[in-house]
Amino acid sequence: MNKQVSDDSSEIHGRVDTLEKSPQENNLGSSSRMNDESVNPKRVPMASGSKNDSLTEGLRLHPMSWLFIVIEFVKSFFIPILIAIFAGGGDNFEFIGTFFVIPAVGFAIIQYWVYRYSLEENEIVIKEGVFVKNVRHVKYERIQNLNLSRNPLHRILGVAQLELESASGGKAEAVMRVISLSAVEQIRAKILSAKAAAESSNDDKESISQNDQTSGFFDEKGSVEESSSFIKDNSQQKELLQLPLIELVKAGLISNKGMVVVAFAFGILGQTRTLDKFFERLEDYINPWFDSVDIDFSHPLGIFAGILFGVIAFVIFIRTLSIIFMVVTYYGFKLINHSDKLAASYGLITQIHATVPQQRIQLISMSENILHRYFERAAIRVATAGGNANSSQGEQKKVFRWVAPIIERSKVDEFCMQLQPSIDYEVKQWQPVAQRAWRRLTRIYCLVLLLVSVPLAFQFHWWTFSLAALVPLIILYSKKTVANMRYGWTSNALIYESGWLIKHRTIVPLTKIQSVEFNQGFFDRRNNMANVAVDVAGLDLGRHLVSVRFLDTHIAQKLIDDLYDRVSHTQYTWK
Amino acid sequence: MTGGKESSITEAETVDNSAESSNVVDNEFVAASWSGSDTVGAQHHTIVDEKHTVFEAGQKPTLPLAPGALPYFKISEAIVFAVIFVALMIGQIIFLISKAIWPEWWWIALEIIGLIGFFYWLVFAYPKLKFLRTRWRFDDQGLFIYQGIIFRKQYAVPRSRVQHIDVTQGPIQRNYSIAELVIHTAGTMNASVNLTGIAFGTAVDVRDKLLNQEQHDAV
Repeated sequence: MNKQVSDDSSEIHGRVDTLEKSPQENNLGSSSRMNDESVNPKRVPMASGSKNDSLTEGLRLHPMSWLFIVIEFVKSFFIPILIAIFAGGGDNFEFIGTFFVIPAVGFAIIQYWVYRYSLEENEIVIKEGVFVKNVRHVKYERIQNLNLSRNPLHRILGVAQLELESASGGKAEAVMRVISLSAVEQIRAKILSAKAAAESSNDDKESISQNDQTSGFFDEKGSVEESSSFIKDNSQQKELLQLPLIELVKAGLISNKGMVVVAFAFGILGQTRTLDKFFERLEDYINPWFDSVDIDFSHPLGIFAGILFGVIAFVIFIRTLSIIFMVVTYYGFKLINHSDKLAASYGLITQIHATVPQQRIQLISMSENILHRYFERAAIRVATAGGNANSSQGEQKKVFRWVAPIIERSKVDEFCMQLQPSIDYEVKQWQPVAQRAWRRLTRIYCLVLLLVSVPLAFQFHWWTFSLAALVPLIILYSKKTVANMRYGWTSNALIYESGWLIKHRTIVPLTKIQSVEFNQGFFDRRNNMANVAVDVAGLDLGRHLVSVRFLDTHIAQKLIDDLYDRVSHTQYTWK
Repeated sequence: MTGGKESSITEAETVDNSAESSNVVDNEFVAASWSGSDTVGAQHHTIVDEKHTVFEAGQKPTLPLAPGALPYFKISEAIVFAVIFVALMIGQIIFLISKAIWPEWWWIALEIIGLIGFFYWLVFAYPKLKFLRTRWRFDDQGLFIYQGIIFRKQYAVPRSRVQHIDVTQGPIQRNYSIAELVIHTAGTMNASVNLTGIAFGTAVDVRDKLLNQEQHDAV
């Protein structure tokens, strides 16, 4: 235990006692999100004078590293600079120079001057800081991942940015921006040999330098992760999935990732006046096409036609973007099962190589929309915990989400089996939810429809009543939605399915369930229903998760009790 | 895991706490709300009144909060009320001064009645309901919490999923020697599950028991 607990004193002072869970401590370092300084890597503020001579020893970063520090600094102020340029009208480059670049260069040179690292026998020691000096000790065996990034500029100068990650999640333990390739190789060799000595097991032969040859136009992010998880001897590589270009085009067509691009573009352009100009241009360009089309926009039918046309144009536009997005993001997608780890590599501009131990997968979720079914395809996503998956930077987190952006429907079962061989996917008996819930849904949607139609009524008068035609559709939708919800037990997992137009199926192994929740809102109680939700690590809250709605109260109660019983008989393993 | 030891302690607490709580809690009410599934099961398809529509607490006994939790809830809600009251008054006075008018008598009467009603609900009715509706159980399996008045909730945290535990105590809580038990898991939605209002000693006990278990596991 890290902290000694003393009850007597805390009774008076109301102190917070934090307990560390020791089973994880052995192999995880810092499992909790709290900052536990007692665990490696340490941050020791250096006492002045005590160890000052150490500044002279140790290795330095690459001499060109100041350049990359400046770039990093400027990047983090990208939006403010953009605003300054566009909003200011372009005549304040001096301003930008004084406020961003000069301090950045100064900062970078100092950073380069004070940053030292040395490779000790069983730890790497990093010293940095001007006013507040930091000495950081990172034990080799704690280093889970070595992430290497190289963009073209890195390649020209023959350097790389190296990140050392422990299992704690969150930020990287140390970022070396930038060091030469030979230094990378040196560090890597040191870590590997130290690990090999520590674990006396064979180390994996993934070579970082292999990633350097991969082509990329603007930016390349190769990250090779060397997990210290218990690597077994059978290092057979098995290819789980490879996506040719045509599949990616289909994936783009099917999914609506185009919205992501649009949202992003609007986000960037919205900061500037580019957007207004763009729309002006667009208007000038498109208007002549429609000169002959005469739509009376005061007539509801005219508006309807206008909306329909707009929607179709928008859909085509979005789907095109979507295809581009999918191809660019997932170009050359390849998922390999390498002993106990899954390694994915993909990307056209930004190349990503990511590895996750199979044990870190918390749930598997499959989705199928109408187009998926037409093409007989599906998409599979996982939630992962620990390592870089838990980090706060969204970019890192997304690296390992879609294990199969698109996959043939007939291959899904086999794929899931290979993804998580320990899970039993066979459901003996599916449990439906309370079918009477369709009435609740219908009521809600009708209410929404009513609320929408009230303001419309002022504009369209009697035409508004045509919206009543939607009621049968609402009923159909509600009935189908409820009918498609079901859950089922397998011997070691819980599977939940829902959705009519877009089908979702989420599989949670019992060992990964962290806690179970029973919810009964006001309307639930009136209808004698409840909701049971299952919590796992690394969940994407916006997406489909195991949260079974519309269960009869006593069934929900039984479900939570059963889950609690069964889950508490299993042990959660991190790796 | 050593089952016998834990459960015996839990039972001891059950006795302890129920004896204490009899002063404050209407024991019959609790019994009616939380006892076995038979009584509740019979009500499934009938509409019953608010007090008795409860979830089945299962066969296992649950514990109420420490008696000190009730005054604590009342005081904290009174503070909430005071803040709302002051904000409302300041807003109103500023409004009236800016308009240079004196409110109608009916408005004052309405407001006084409204505030009294709100005060009663917030400081008397709500804490009492909250107190009665919160039940918990800690045993070999883990921690199970029942709570909620309008939105009923149950949380089940298995022992093996507990990452770490906090026992915290604010100044008012210290006065009533109650504490807040915060259980952290690796989950996302319920990364921490909170139980406010159990006796400080009990909270420390729960924590220590989990601590012991971990030492067993680690070996």
